[in-house]
Amino acid sequence: MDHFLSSSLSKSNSYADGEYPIWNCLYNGQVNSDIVIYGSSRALVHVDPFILADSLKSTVFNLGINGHSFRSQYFRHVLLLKFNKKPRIIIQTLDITSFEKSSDLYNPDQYLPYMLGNKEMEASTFTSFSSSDFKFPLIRYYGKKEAFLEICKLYLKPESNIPVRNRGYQPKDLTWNDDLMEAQRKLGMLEIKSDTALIKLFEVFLSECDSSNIKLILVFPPVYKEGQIFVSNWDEVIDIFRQYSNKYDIPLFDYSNDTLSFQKEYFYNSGHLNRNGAELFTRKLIKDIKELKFPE
Amino acid sequence: MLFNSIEFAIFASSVFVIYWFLFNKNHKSQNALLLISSWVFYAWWDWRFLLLLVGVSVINYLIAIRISSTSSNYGRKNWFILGLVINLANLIFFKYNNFFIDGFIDLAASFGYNLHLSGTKVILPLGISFYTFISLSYLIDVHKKTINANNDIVEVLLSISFFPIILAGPIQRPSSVFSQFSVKRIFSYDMITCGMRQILWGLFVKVVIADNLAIYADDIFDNYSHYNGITLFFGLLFYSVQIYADFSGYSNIAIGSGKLFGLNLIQNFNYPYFSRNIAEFWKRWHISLTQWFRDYVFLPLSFSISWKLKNERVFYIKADLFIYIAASIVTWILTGLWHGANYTFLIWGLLHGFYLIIFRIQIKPRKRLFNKLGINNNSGILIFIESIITFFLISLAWVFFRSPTVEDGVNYLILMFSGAYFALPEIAYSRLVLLIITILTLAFFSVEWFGRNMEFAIAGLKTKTHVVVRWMFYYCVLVIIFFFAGLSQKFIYFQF
Repeated sequence: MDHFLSSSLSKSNSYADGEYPIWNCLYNGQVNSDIVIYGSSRALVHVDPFILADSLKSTVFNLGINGHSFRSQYFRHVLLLKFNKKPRIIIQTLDITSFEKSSDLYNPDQYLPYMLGNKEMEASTFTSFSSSDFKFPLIRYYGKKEAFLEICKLYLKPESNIPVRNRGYQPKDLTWNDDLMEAQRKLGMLEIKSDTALIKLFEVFLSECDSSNIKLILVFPPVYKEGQIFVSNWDEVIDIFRQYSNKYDIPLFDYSNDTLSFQKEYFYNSGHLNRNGAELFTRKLIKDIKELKFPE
Repeated sequence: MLFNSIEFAIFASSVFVIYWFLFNKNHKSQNALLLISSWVFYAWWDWRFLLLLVGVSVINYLIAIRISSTSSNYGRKNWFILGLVINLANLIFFKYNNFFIDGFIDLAASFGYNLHLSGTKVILPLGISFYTFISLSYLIDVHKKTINANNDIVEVLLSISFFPIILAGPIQRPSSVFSQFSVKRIFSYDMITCGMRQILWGLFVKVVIADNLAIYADDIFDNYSHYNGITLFFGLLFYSVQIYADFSGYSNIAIGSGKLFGLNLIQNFNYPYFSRNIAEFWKRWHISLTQWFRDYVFLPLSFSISWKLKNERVFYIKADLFIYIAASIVTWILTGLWHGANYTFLIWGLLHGFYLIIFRIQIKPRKRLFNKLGINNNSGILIFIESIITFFLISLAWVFFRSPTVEDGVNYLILMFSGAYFALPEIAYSRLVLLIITILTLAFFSVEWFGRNMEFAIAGLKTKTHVVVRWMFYYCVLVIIFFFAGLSQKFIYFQF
């Protein structure tokens, strides 16, 4: 029964923010790309793997995970190396909240099909689930009515199972929406508290890439300028990225002051570029990557 | 531990096996096991309040013995008053201490005095309202000589602490269970399967209907100022169904659990939302509490007032009606306050008292009017209309029951009646899930309608359906419970 539910649910292309195809590719060794993109939603909507692939003549896959900080991104990295070909280049996109410890797990349903007996996943998803969810079958599906309905939909209306992400990329054809800015205005100035454990994990990741001979590029994608002012310790967080960039001699591309960050028409909210903005940003990124002159 | 938790399932199953296979020598060993299990169950929440429960129960046992053994009426009365005072003081201290302190501060503030009374907020022991009333009914029945004091301390303690009923009822009077405790319970396959069927139904009603509707009702009530009138109306409907499903679901699990041990407990709900008038509603809703207040407050108060009245009319009202009004007001004030230390519960209680008084007043004029107009009092359409009106009046009162303050309750009603009925409800959550829950709720009421003449809605499944159909039904209900369980919510009546 557990196997039936898990294998059925994992076939959904759109449920749980469309993350199942990404997890499936990771576990089934189907990523196998020269260039891999890591990050949060700002990776998966900003960095177009097709433009990158075309320009850099390489295979590219976007492993951005919506709503998650570096801990979950690192977990995907571990799975990538375990089940897939080692990439030549990793583009690690960064956010002002990359090292912020979250109190709950965003979109926990994305883990459901893969949890049983998965110790590595248990370690990385430390909130929302109990250890019995990983040890005993079916328990984690208790009360998961949306997941159950999705499984029913997959069997009754298979034509509705349309992919929302292509090689992990999900561009947004949206115009500017003021909701996020309004919310930020109401909350007022925010101080980002970076978790030292996550920063240590990041350093571990940097040195692992170095010892594995994987070329790493740190990228801070554009953030609409008016949204940046709500973070009181903006420079302090960016300094953490710069510090590690210098320490490990890893290129850091910071686009927070790029001209793109001043152009509202390319954003759908203060933190995310729309499709046009993403394409423009990807081309800028390619130009900067080419100047690095990484060996083939 | 909640009834819908893995811990309770393991606990109840273990006690069941030990009860029927190891402790079944005689009724004393059965009672002893149930008592220890009940204490373990209660201590699971907070072991400190177990000491309070045991202490109060032992005191009640001793006082009842003294009442029975004292020959003089004066002496019996003194022991009885002592018992009343101890139980009520215990309840008032834990339940109403914060209410009185806050009320005193508010009163002082209205006279311009700002008091800063420092003090610890008192924790409310779980189930205190319920076990206090069980204890009181025991003492009252002994005092009135309805029963003799029970010399078996285990039976007395068990009648107060029995784990299926201690947290949220039914308020099972000791006089009705002593006869069951004093004999060895014999394993009955029919009774146990009936109990399991009742537990299954209670679980479905609680975790699928109540816990899912709670998500919508809570959102609407907690943010009522942001919603339009039609949404608030739906919020009211959701809550009305939620509280019924929550409490009746719990009661079914409790009564079904009792059956697992060969014990019959009082039915607590008799399909109240099918009532055609408010009087009928209160014969069907929280039956154990209504009967308690009727037998120990309303009737004695009515007799007491009637003895004191000399005239046929009081303030131009017929004496019997005056007695009814006076006794009802007091009874419903106390009923409201029993539910909680908040003015909202007082308003709720008074509203129901008002409904009952109006109902009483209109009985004869209505009958005369219907006779004159040739309206058949038992016509289906009339019953349907009256049932809808009754449900609506009850739902309006629930607004105060649910709202944190009287002001919130009033504002909710004002906004609900202020318009925007032709707009779409603004429900923020998944429409598909809401649709499924609505369908399941309608199915729930349908099953209740067809099973309304039975103790619980699916009681007749064994005799009225083929075994294959029956097991398919069980399996479907289990699958629905598994996948459609709402976010875990405490039973609403635990707060009382």
